[in-house]
Amino acid sequence: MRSGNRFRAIALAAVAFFVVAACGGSSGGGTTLASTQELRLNIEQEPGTLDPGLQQWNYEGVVGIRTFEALLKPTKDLKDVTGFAADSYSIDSTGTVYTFKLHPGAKWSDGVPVKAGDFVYGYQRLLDPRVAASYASYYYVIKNAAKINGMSPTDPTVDAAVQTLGVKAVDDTTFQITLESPAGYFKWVASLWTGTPVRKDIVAKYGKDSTGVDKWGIVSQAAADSLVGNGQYKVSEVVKNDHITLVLNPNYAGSSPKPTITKMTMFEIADETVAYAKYKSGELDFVKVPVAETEAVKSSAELVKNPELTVFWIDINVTAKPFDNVKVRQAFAAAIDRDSFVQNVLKGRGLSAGTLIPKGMRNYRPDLGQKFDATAGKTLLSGAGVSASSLNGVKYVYNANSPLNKTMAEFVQAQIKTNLGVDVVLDGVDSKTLSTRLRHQQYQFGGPSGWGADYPDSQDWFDVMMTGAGNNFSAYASTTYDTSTTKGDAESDNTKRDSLYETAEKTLVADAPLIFLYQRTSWWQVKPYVKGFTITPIDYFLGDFYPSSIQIAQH
Amino acid sequence: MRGALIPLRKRSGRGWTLGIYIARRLLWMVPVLLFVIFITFFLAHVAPGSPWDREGRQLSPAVINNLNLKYGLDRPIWTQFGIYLWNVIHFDFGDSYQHTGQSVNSLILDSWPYTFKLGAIAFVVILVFGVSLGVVAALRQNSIIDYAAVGLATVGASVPNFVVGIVLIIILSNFLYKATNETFFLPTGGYPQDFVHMIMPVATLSFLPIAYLARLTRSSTLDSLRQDFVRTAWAKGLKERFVVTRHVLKNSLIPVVTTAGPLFAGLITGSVIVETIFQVPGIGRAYVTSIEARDYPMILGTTVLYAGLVALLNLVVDVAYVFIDPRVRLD
Amino acid sequence: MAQAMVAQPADWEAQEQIGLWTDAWRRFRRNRLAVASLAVVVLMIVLAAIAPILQRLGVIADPTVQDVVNSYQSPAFGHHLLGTDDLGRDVLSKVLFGAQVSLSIGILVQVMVLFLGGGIGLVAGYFGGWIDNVLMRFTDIMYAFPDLLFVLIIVAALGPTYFNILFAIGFVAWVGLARLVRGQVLSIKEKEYVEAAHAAGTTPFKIIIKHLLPNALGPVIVTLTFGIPAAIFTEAVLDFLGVGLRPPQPSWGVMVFEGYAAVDAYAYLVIIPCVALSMTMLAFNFVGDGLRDALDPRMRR
Repeated sequence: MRSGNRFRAIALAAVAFFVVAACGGSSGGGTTLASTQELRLNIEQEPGTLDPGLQQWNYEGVVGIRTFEALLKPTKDLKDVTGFAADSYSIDSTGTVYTFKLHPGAKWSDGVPVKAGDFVYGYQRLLDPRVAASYASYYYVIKNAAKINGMSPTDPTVDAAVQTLGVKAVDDTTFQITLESPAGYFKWVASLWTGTPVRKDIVAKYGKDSTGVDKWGIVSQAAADSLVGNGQYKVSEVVKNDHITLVLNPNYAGSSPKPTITKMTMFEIADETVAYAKYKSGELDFVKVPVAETEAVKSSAELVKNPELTVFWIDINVTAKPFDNVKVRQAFAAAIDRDSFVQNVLKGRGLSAGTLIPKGMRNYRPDLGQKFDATAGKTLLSGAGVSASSLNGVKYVYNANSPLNKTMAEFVQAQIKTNLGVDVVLDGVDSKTLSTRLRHQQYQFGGPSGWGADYPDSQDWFDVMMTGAGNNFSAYASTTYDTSTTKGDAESDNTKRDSLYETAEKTLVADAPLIFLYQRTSWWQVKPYVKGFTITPIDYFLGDFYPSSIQIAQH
Repeated sequence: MRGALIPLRKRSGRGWTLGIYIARRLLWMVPVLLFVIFITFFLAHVAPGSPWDREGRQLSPAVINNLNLKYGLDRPIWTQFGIYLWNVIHFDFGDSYQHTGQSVNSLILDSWPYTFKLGAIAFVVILVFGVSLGVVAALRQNSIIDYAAVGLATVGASVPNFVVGIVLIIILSNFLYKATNETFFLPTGGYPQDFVHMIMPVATLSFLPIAYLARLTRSSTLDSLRQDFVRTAWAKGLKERFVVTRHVLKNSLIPVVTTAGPLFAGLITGSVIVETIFQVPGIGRAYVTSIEARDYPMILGTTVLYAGLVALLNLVVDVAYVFIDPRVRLD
Repeated sequence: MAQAMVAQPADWEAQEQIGLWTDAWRRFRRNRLAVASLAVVVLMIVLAAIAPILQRLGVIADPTVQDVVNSYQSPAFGHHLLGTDDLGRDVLSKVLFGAQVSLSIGILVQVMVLFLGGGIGLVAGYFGGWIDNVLMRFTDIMYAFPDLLFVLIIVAALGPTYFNILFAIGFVAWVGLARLVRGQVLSIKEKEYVEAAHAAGTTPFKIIIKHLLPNALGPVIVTLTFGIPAAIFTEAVLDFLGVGLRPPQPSWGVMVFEGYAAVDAYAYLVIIPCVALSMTMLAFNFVGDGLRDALDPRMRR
């Protein structure tokens, strides 16, 4: 009974404007606080690990970001980064050496001071091939990182190689990172929640299990007791497949203000219908609104909308017939009424999208995007010399596990039939099969796939469709696109960057290896007594980056 | 074989024969389990998709390679099977892929008690309500109670348990919450496992089996009621309760017992739906999520557990036949 | 199932058997509730079968035609009698077209179960010894079979066709019945009248048909009746694994599953297919009861 869609594998970092929740705003002042400051939320699934370096999913990061502090974090408006574990940073004239000044007096949850050496170990561990961290590739811009991470885990020289990583403790409160090349976006990488300090003695003390995984990060009560973090909260209770409880870290001495919420109970309710019922019965303080309930909550006072930096699209396999023909791809891209899709299938919970970059980011250019035009679609098809009937039976593959994805598939099928006269066959598969088939181009077209911003920089997005990139399920390969993206990534001048990325976006839209569909807006119901949420479009579970301001009013 | 047993039977009687039968059946469990492991191992590995496939952000080839090395998935499949069997013989079911660094053994040991407790309680509830409803329905055939039992059976079978569950949550939790000004409502979670938390999951779990067992009991009770010796007993003017407990019930138990064995195995290994809806941290969910995640060691571990329980409980059922009906011969 | 049972007399040669079955039919006809229920079942099958004709005549809408602007319309006289779903498709039409898949899978799977499970149970119970042992250990294995993996692979390999789905469900559904029939037979075969028939030199086949089968019938009918909705929901589970029939083909099970997501706001989307299923189930229950009473050898005078 999995429901909803889970595309964002992703992180919690990203872009442009922020939303103070309708329920938030007037914190402090006239609010009488409740005697128990407990926040109960649904994180949907049990994290696979409590070790921030090994985490990769939203439901894992939600714990990681509250129990560990990375060097930086995004500002509330997502326009820049601000201090987290580090108070400030400086870049040298070559643009390759980043020096971070750590917050003086910061302590671990066991009272030991946080040192720059802990960051050195944390970063080395992240790129150690034996640790097999999923997020390792983000840090490949660091000197020697890609080389070290690509080594065989059984290679006896790994230990020596890890020491060559471009990280250094200048003194106890100064941490320095050297990059392979000047990359203007590195500040965002340093704000990812996975790049935290790690205590070498604690990791060593609890040892490894039979497969070489460090025991300290395992999701169990015993491991939670041994988990030592530098974040505002610490894990106090782990009940398998039911909930994880965080309480205030009594030894916290970092830069963030002391939070009002003293306890966060994170339930792992996979079924969103059940979670919604529990919100109504008062067992959760805020909850995601299931798509089917959208109409019912439209005028609710408890409604909070968060326009996410997440775009969904249909993948097209450009290597096989009939979609190796660019005109056929363009015809299909023109044949889908995105506005109707957003209004009727998503019930208004999103914006129609025609480009890779979502609204709210610097290089958002809707004027360049794909547009719905049924006549143009038909013309393109006949111009390509392809008859509609010859395309009958073309298969659209989707995840049958998700009711929403099935509804989307049925909508796409009807649109293609109405606007192009082509009979599409729907091919539902389970999510693992879908991933395998997308990855190995064993499909014609299907999806949707999507991307959520890890951090608010175009580099995070355009890299997705580079030749050979992991999420380039279309097997799209364009020299123009690759060149302008690579140049844009390495460029530090914003005007030049913008024009390079514009070329990339234009090329992508024209080649149509993707049919862009929509940008998601997540809808939440928040109990009126929960005040002071600071929400950014890259939040997955509301208040991820600034939990200090949340309060529970007397109710 | 039967002939060979005759002298034994003369010497030590029925108990001895039964002992040999049980021992033989226990030995049979070994090939049965081996076969289940064999089939499941290859089904799991043949299924499309690998444990490292995912929606959203893809793992880099280097990372996938490292993971394969770590879990031995780079070896030829027969070697993997050999290693797995060798470990299973030593009661080592390997490490889960989804739950980093946790062994299948510890995952099962952690979660099974929750499922077991819930399943065992539901089992008792099902037996008590199912059998009594069935007997009463048969004794009062075509009465209100009989039709009520049919009605329950109809609803129980036609409304799937996830719908039953959510309806219970909406009614017992939301409405009570509002109606009683938040002072009393039934919690929907399965944790901690105290009386109040168990009501809803047990009710959801029991609904369909009660209906089925009631219909089954009704049917076989009607069979028994029409047997000659029961008619004789009625004719002799014996008290109803006496006739029912002494003659009817005993004779109608065979189908109930046959069903109860695997039912118990199913209940104590959990239902993914009930565990998901009511937040029970049990192994029912673990089984289905492990298939979705292609977590091979976890799929095998849970399947072997279930297979062993089914084989064992079917043996219990067969032995129970002898006690219910002494004429039944086991060989 | 009812049809399958009644149709069997033709296969039987012995004069006395024809007597038994005509006799049973006579008694079945006297049970008004059972006859009415049989009529309901037949009506449902007929409605399902003529749904395409009704659609062509304009009585019902096309179940696949979307009208996204009019999604989630509540049931109302006039426009959509049973309302519309998330893409504005007519629910009444989905129920009728869904009946084609659901009723046929529900019933045909039971036919498979009857022959596979009933056959294996009868043979194992009657012959005993190594035959019983081999068949029952096989049953133990089948019980433990990871159904989800099995159907995933079967359908991934052979394609999600109606026949493959029917086969996959039937192939894993028979085990309960096999154990049940065997248990009944183990107990019945030791009874005096069976021993007597055995002593009189009656062939095993005749003993099974004449004595064991009718006496084991009660639990069999109950199990098959419950098997119908079970098979219908299994089909829906397959759909969620992505190995079901290709959408937009509707089925009752899938309608319940999809309606569940909107249960709080649009409860009718769950209630309507559940009611359709309940009516079928109720009718089959009464038909089964009538059949059981009619076939009970001890009820004969």
